[in-house]
Amino acid sequence: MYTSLAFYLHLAVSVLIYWLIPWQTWRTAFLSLSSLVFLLRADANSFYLVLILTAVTWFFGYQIGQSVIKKTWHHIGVILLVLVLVIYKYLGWLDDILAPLLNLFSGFSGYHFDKLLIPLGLSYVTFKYISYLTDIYWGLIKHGRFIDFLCYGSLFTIYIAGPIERFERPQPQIDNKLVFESALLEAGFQRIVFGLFKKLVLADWLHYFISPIWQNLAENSFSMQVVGVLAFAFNIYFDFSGYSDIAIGSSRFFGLTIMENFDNPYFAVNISQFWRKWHISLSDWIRDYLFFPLSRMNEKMIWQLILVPLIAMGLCGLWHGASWSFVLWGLWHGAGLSLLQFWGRFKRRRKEIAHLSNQPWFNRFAAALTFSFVCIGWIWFIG
Amino acid sequence: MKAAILATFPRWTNRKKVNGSIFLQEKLIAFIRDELISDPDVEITADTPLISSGLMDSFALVTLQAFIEKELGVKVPAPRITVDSFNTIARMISIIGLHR
Repeated sequence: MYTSLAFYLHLAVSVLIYWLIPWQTWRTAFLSLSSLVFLLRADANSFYLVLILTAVTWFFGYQIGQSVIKKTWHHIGVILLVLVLVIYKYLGWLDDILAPLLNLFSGFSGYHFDKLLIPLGLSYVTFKYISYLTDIYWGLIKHGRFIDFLCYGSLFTIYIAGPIERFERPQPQIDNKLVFESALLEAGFQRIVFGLFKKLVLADWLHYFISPIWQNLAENSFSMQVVGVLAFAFNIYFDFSGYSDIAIGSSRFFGLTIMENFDNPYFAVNISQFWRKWHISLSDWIRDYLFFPLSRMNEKMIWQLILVPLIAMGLCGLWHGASWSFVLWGLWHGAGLSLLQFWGRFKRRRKEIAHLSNQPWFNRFAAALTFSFVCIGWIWFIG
Repeated sequence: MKAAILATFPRWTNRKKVNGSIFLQEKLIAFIRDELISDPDVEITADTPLISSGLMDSFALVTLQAFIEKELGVKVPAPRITVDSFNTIARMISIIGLHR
């Protein structure tokens, strides 16, 4: 989508009209309209879904901000958003489990859940809206103007592949009068070219040469399997970070600064640091809205050190797609985070180990170990 | 009346703030040194980088959030407890101050 000519034509025309409009509110309204037109052309289902979800979520956000029963409004709003995601993305996948259960009830015998066509960007928009409602509930933000929220939710430059921005970052930018500078176009253009290079040259070429190995990974020799997995690690990094570069660069054309989504993740010295450098907007989301609240529910060690990482990362895996292989990939990372916490506790008890782990050579070893751990996890992604 | 007295003697309020901040700093240092950092022998000051230096891992932030809420009665929401905003005691104190 972000490499198509249609996207760049739409971007060029939108940028031109956007900066010709003298009033910021009208610019915001135009950017929302432009984003909705883009969505309508790309996927009509997504267009209608965004309109409905935006209106409903903003209404809930308004109620959370004004009402005395904030908790009720917040919980209902979040449950509704999760339900939309579950119905579109997971019910069809869970049919094998749910249908036999439903058949136990006479009125539902023979009932099946069909796999629905998932609207474009559904996973991203629901996560953005859950963060919006929760941030209002926590008193971090106000519900804002509807037009700002519509622009934030539908912004076509980040709608399809993120980053999962929080409302509090783009909203003040949208609200303030932006001044056109040629440096914006320059910075945006450079970032887009960088992203296109990563995506079209590095990622796609790796894909072209290595995809025969991925298609039959189990049938190849061990050394070819290792090459295949290593190539996949770089393919997925260049592909996804390339998309993020294009999203950040395109948004810059409109004067918007979007959060960074990658920060040299393969140099991380442990799995926790990896998740602070890989798909940062998603890992921040998981941390803030799953990991912290889940950890605070129970103080037992087994819950905090084992179950919370497994649940949070299992759900993180499920977010990537309705498949057990994604769940296993998430659980693998959850197990890694759990082990890291035990390692931290062990280090606290053994001073000599703590001193050893501060040595430069240990960091290099830890980075290699983390990279290997991540690469093993990619095997489920390939599958 | 109280406001008028404090306006007349501004040093009183400043002293109270400074003392409160030092008290908070000592409390946080003691908790972090005893419970969270990997090497309890390291001397911690208000500006010692805790997470970026590897002394404390980011999982400790959950424990810190619970400690701040229980011991100080301040609820700091998770999005405000980041590796950057909680990297030093000084930064922690300023974030806690915003949510008091």
